[in-house]
Amino acid sequence: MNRELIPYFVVAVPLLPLAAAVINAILFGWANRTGSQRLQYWTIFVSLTATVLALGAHFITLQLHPTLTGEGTATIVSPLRWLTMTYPLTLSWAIRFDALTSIMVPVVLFVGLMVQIFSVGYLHDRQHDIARYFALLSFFMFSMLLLVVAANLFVFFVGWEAVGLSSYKLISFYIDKDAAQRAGKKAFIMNRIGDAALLLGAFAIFRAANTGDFREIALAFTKGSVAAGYANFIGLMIFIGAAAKSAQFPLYTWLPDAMTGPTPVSALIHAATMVTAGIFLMLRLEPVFVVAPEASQIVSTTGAITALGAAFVAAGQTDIKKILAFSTVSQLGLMVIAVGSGAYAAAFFHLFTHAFFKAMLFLIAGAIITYAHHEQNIRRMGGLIRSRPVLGILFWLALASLAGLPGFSGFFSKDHILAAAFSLKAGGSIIGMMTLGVSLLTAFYTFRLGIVVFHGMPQNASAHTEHGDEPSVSFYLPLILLAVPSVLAGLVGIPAIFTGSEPVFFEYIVRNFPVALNEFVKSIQNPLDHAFEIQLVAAGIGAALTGATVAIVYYGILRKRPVAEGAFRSAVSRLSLNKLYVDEIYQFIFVAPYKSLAAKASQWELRVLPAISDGLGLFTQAIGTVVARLQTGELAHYAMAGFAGILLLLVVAMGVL
Amino acid sequence: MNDFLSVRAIAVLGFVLFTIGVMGVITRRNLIIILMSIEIMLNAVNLLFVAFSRGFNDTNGQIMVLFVMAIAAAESAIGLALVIAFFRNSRSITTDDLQNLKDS
Repeated sequence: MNRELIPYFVVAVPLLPLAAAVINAILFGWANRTGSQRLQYWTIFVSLTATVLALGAHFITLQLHPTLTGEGTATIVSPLRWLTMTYPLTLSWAIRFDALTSIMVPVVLFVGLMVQIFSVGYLHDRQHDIARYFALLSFFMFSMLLLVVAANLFVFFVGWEAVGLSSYKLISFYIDKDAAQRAGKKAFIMNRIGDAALLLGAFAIFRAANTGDFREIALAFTKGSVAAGYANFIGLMIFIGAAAKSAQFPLYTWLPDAMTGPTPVSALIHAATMVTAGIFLMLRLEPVFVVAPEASQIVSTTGAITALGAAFVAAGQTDIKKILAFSTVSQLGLMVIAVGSGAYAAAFFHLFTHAFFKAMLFLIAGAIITYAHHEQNIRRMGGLIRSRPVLGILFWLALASLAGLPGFSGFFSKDHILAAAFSLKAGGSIIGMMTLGVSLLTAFYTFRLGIVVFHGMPQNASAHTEHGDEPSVSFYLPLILLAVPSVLAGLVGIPAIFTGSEPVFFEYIVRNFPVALNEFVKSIQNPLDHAFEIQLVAAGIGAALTGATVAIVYYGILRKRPVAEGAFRSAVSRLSLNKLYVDEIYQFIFVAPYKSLAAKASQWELRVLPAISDGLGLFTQAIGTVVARLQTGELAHYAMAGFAGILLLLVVAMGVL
Repeated sequence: MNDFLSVRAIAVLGFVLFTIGVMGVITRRNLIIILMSIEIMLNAVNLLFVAFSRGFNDTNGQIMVLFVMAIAAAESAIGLALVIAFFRNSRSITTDDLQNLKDS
C-alpha cells in the first residue's frame, strides 16, 4: 500500500453508501414486484456492508495519509469535471480530506452504522418497508458524507440539498400517518428558507473570491481583500442557511416536529447527519466569519437565545422524544455560541461529543418506546429500571454526559464553550450567564427525564409485559458500543486548565484553520485569567449539580409527577409546555395570511380559468351543431349539391373566359 | 346534312336526356334507377359527342365515345356489384337505408 492509493480510498468513502442506496432502490422495486421478504432482508446486508467498507476505506486513508496538521496538508481529489465555463468558473466534483473530515467522516459512519444495526430490530413490525428504509438510510449517509468531504461550495451544496431531501423522505417515512407527512413538509419548507440564503451567500462568496474552492476562499478572505460590509452580509447569509439546517431560532420549529419519523432516524438526524450540517458549514467557512465580526456577534446572540429558550421548553415537555428534540436544539445553540465567539474548535468538539450521547439517548428512547408499545408520554412510564436494568444504566450514562456532570464527555466540551462565551468582548458576561443558565436547565431536564422514566412507581402495566420475540441483540449492541465514546470522548479535549497543555483534539483542529484566526480571536475576545477560568469550571459544575439536585429533590424525593395535559398549571410551565407559543405565532404571522391569499388566488383557477376553457369548448360545440345540419344523410341532397357546384363552376368558367 | 336531323336538334335531345338523368339521380330513391340515370347521362354525352363530331367533321369526338362506353361498362359493373353487396347487407336497395354514417 502506498500513497498513490489515497485518492481511491478518499473517493470510495462517499461512493460506497451511494452504491448501497442504488442497489437497495433496485432491490426495493424488485421486492415489491415479487413480494419477496428475503430480498428485503438483503437490503440490510447491503447497507451494513457499505457502511463498514466505507469506515474501512476511511481508516486506510488515515493510515496512508502523511500528516493532517498545518496548512496545505489536505488532500484534494477531483475525479470528475462537472462544468467548465469561461474563466474563472470551473466546477469539479472535488473531494477534500483534511483534519475536519478525518474526524467528521468516522462520526457520521459510526453513528450511522449503530443506527442501522438498531433499525434492524426497530423495524420488526414493519417488515414490508425494510427495503425502502435502508435505501433511504444509505442515501442519507451518502448525502451527509458528500457534504462533509466536499472541497468546494458547489459540491457542498449538492450534499446539502441531498441531506434535505433524504431527511424529508425519512421524516415522512410512515406514509400512512398524516402527521408524518406534515412534519416532513414542514422540515423541507423550513430548510428551503435556509437554502435560499445559503445560495445567496455562496454566490456572494463567488463574487468576492472568484472561486468556490474552500482553500481559495480562505486565501481570498484572509488576505483582507473583501470589504467588511460585504463579508458581514455573506456571514449573515451563511448563518441563516446554517440556522435552518441546525435548527436555530427562528427556523428551528421543524426539528421537534421531525419526531414523527422512525426513532432511529431521529437519532441519525439529531446526532450525526442533518443538524450538524449547519455547524459544519460555518466551520468550513470560518475564514468568512473571521472578517465579519458583526455577523459573528449576531451568530453568538442567536445561539444563546436558542440554547436558553429550547432548554426552557425541554424542561416542560412530557413526550420523551420532544424532550430530546428540544435538548438537541439547545445543544446546537451552544455550538453556535462557540462559533460566534470564535471558538471553532470548541464548537466542533461539542458537535463530536454530542453526536455520540445524543444518538445513544435517541436509540434508548426508541427501545423504551418499543417496549412500551409506542407509548411516548413520560407520564405513563416509570420504574423501568427494575425490568430493564441495563437499559437504565446506559440511559443514565448518556444523560450524565448531556447534563455535563464532571468527568463525562459533555462536561469538557461545555466548559470550552463556557470559557469562549465569557471571554467575548461584546456582551460576553450576558451570553456567558445565558450559557450557565443552559447548563442548569439541561441538568434539570435530563434528571427529570431519567427519574420519571426509570424510577418511581410503574404507571402502566403494559409497559413491562415481557415478549418472547423482543429484539435484544440489535438493540443492546449499538447502545453498548455507543456508550464508550459517549462517556470517554471528552478525554481527547480536556481543557488546558486541568492538564496545563492544549488538548490533542484542539491542536489537531486549530492548526487546520488559516493563521488569521488568532488575530480574529484576539480582536473579539478578552483573554481570561487563570483564576477566572477555575471559577468558571466551578460555576459550570455548580450549575449542573444545582439543576440535577432540584430535579432529584422534586421528582425523586418528593415523588412529584409531570402534570397531566388538561390540569391547571402556572404561567411558566404553561409557557414551557406550549413551546413558548412559537408555532402559534408562526401560524398567525405566516401560515394564516398565506393560506387566505392562496384561497383568494385559487378563485382564478376555480372561476376564471374554467370559464375560458369551457367557453372555448361550448363555442366550438355550437358551431358544430349548426354546421352538422348540412349533413342530412340524404343521397339526393349530396347529388344536388354536387350538380349545383358543377353548374356554378361552369358559370364562373364561362364568365371568366 | 339534312334539316330533319340537324346538329342543333340532336344537341337539344342530348341536353334534354342529360337533364332527365340528373333529375333521376336527384329524385329517385331506388339505387338501380339511379344507376340507370347515370347511364342516361353518359349516353346523353355520347350523343352530343357524336353530333358535334358530325357537325364539325372531326372524328376525335367519335373516338371519345368509344372510351366513354368502355368506362361506362366498367362503372355499371362496379355499381351493380356495390348495389348487390348493399342488398345482401340490408335487404333493401333504397337510399333511405344508406344513412348509417349520419349522426342522428
